Amino acid sequence: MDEIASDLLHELNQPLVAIENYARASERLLTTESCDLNDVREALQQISAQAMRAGRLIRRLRTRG
Amino acid sequence: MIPHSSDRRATVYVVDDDDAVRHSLGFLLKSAGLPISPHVSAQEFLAAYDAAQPSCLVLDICMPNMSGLELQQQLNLRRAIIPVVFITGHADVPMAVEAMRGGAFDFLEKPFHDRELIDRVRHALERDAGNRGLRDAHQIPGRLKCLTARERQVLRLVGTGKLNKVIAADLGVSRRTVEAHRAHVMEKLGVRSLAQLVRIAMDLEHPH
Repeated sequence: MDEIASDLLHELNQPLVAIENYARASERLLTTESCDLNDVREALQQISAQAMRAGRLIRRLRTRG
Repeated sequence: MIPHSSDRRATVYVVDDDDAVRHSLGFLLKSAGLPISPHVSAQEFLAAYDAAQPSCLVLDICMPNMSGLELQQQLNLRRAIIPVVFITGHADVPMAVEAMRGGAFDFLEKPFHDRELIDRVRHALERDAGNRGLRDAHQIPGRLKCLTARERQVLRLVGTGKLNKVIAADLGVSRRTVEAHRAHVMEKLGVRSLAQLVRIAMDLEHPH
């Protein structure tokens, strides 16, 4: 695997880690009594943004052919 | 008055150059009730780091400019006792070995479970509290030397469990004077509670 592909794969790991963190944090928030749904909404927006980021990176990997 | 560590809430410093990873780590730790202080770079963290504050550090190992390992070296040079939990993108054995040799508290490979991170961070904070207790205890003998003969006398009498008015009568001074001496002793030793003061006074009489 060439270096650029390796960098892109490393880059791809970042949004996946972020998505995992936001999802787990949301689960935690929803089990607490004083849960603020605005926090959960923020996490969901971030999850969506990070999924888009991962998608863009995959497109870049593909177009390199 | 020298602040006592237990009076301040412990902070989790999070240092990662990736905005999403840093923000999500902070978000996760906050959801577990942990106060966080996020920083985008090692330099920014060093500028904000307060050694007096009980804390631990969640640190990305791969960062531009100053890497996590370089930051660890900087902290070691400064004799900072902050426990470091490293986060790495891929299993790199030489890097892990270097981090552990540098005194890393723990090492987590991405992706990790939220429980793993939160447990390790909590353990790191416990370690920090333990380190601080030891360090503060080591400082007491040095600080005792700063006491005047009279203050030392008052401290010994406090250790015998005598009330201020009894100590005052023993020394032939007013109760106010005894209270002032006691306040000075506590300030010089960096002690906040009477319980701590009594323990130090008792150790003075009967060293371990």
